Amino acid sequence: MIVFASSAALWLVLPVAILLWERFRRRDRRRLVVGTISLWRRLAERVVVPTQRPRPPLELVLEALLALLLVVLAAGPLRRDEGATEVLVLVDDGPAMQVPARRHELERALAEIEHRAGRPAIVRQAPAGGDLGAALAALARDDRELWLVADDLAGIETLPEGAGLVVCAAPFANLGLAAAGLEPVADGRELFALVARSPSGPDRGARLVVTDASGRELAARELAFAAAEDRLACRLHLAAEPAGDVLLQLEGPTGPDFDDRLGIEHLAGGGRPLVLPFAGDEAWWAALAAAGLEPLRALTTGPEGAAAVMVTAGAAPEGPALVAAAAGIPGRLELRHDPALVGRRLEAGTELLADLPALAELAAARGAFFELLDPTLKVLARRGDRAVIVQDPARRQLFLAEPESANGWRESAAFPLLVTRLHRLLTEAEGRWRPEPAPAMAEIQGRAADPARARPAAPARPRVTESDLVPVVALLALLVLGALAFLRRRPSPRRESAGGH
Amino acid sequence: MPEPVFDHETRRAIAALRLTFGRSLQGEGGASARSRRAGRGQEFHDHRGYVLGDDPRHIDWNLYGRLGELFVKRFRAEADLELRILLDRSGSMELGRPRKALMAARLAGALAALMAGFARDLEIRGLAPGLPRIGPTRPGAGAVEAIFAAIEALAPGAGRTALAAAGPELAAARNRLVVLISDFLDEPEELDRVLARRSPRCDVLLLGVLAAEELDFGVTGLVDFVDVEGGAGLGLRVDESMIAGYRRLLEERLETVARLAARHGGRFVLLRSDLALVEALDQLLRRGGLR
Repeated sequence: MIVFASSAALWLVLPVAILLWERFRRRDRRRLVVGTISLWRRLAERVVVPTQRPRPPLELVLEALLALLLVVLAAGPLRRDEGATEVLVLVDDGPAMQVPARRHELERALAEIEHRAGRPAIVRQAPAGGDLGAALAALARDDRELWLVADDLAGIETLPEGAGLVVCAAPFANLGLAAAGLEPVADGRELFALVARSPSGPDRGARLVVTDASGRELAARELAFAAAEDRLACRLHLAAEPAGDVLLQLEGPTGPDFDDRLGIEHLAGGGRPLVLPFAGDEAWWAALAAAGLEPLRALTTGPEGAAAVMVTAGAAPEGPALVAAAAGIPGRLELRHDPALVGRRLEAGTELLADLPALAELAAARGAFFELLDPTLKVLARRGDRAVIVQDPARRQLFLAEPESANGWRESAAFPLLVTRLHRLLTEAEGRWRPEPAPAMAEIQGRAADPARARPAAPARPRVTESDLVPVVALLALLVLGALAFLRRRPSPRRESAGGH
Repeated sequence: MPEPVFDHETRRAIAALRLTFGRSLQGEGGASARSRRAGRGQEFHDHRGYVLGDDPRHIDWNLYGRLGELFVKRFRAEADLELRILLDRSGSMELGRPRKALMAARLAGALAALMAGFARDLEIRGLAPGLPRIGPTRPGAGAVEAIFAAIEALAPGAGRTALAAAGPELAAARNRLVVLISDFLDEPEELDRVLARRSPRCDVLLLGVLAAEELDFGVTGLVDFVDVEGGAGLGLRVDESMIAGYRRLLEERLETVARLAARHGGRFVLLRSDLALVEALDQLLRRGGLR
């Protein structure tokens, strides 16, 4: 395919064509003033005048060709070789992609793909649930260039070789509590909190305060964000066992603007308090039930232990799911619907949404946070209210996840960042989880903006090669010029002109 | 800006010709009253073939007895000659490169200058409506310059050729030479009618001026012909065969003019407008019977 570096120069064709046409028209029929037309009239009576229009003179054709070549030269012709003849984009168009910021990223990614391909792309919606990579692989053909546009890296494991992946990430825009958990320890309670910060968030840190229901401060922690750190997990020791509910308050440097409470009222809805149970399982479940929550429980299949995942009940929940990583949890982690705890797997249609095989192999320090893959979130979005609760019943560990919308963040979607981190953990940890810095927000944004960087594990090989055609076109123009010069040196009877015109 | 009719080079050429022509005249006649042209003087000049209308008294019967053909004697004219130059100033004369009108005007001026020495009087008229008459001018100092200036002042040609205006000039019963300068592209019937009015004492010289583009027409392709005088148009596909046909027709037309001139006791000389004036005058004097 021929493309042009400066396609605007092609507009020069219009004036050139007008000039050439005018010249051709004038050549084609000329007006000749003569002293008398009587002789010509007598001739016309004798001969039959052919009506066929003359063929354009070769010279004029060469002039037109030369002008066209010069215009093409000005436009900078390039030959683009493409390995594929069509571009197919599989779009994970699930609920998570409906976030406005992510929709924008999706549109931008599609436009970028089409721009790179130089042709319109065939866009298909990914089947609900399932392995996106596998779905894309099923569409692979030799003459196709494949792209997957998703809001996470869930399909990267099965992504076909050579396919591109664009992750439509939306950054955190502010600062807020992403999750929290409370766990009984020997000398009291320990609270885990995860605070997220966007690039536009405060640079000087924030303060996390835990109070009881009466507002008495139980603990506080100054949070200092590193420059590239986007989330900060911390633990606070509560020496005195609170009598009732606890309240987490995040204070930013600008005061009330960052008065991010731990969404207790949001979780329960209608201003009902969040019940953080400090007793055994049954009390915990009862408390959740009293709050109108419908939990999900995640259990490992192995004998060593179990983890629980719970989600609040409701019509349309949002937010990341967090899994507490208990040390040495082997086997497969499955989500099961509770309160009945019948052990059925959590499914949406035909898709197993919460199959986390690699997670069980992790060994992590207590208090670390893992996030569920996006497919799980879809389930949670259907099952929960506005938050996700993850608990390890054996260790009485509870994690809460707060949806960004409830926090009043300007940007509501944060999934890709979480999922990216999880992916790294899953793919790079060998038997043990080694804490790593989260990917910088700029990196996530860069991936979304640049499809070439969308797949860091396997950089996309160049599919499009361009070669400069300027020398070829210039050579052609010189040949035409030479032919024109040759023609013009030859005497031609047509060049004789009649007098007086 | 129009090209001057009598530029320096033209004037110099005319002056040189006047000298040559005048010496020749002086050597033969010895008197300014003698003219260079053959006419009805007392001194024999040469013979020419008899044509209908010639005075039978001038037939050389001796020559007829020897050759069996009729010839008339020609005599040097006396200086009672009147010169009338009728200049076609129609639109067609403005065509050509150089313009036919330019060559015609130079020829008229040159003829006037050459004849000024022995013509009794001379006059230049334009063969177009509304053109002023130049002359009659008596020979003498300043006469040539006055004629040149008057010719220079002529307006560009336009309209049709008014050949009919030549009729009275030809009909005058005087010893007169009428030089009609035109391209003779109009239909020859009117020329025939005009020449038929010629009086026996009046000699006529038809001086045809055609442009090189007319004589050697070479334009091919689709051509919209426009008649400069009538404005009529005609679209034609012109090819080489058509050009050959045009040349044949033009040749026929010129032959017709020559035949008409001969029939009425005159001569026809065709000159190209792109000739140098000296060469054109040389051809005129040799072929026009003025030398």
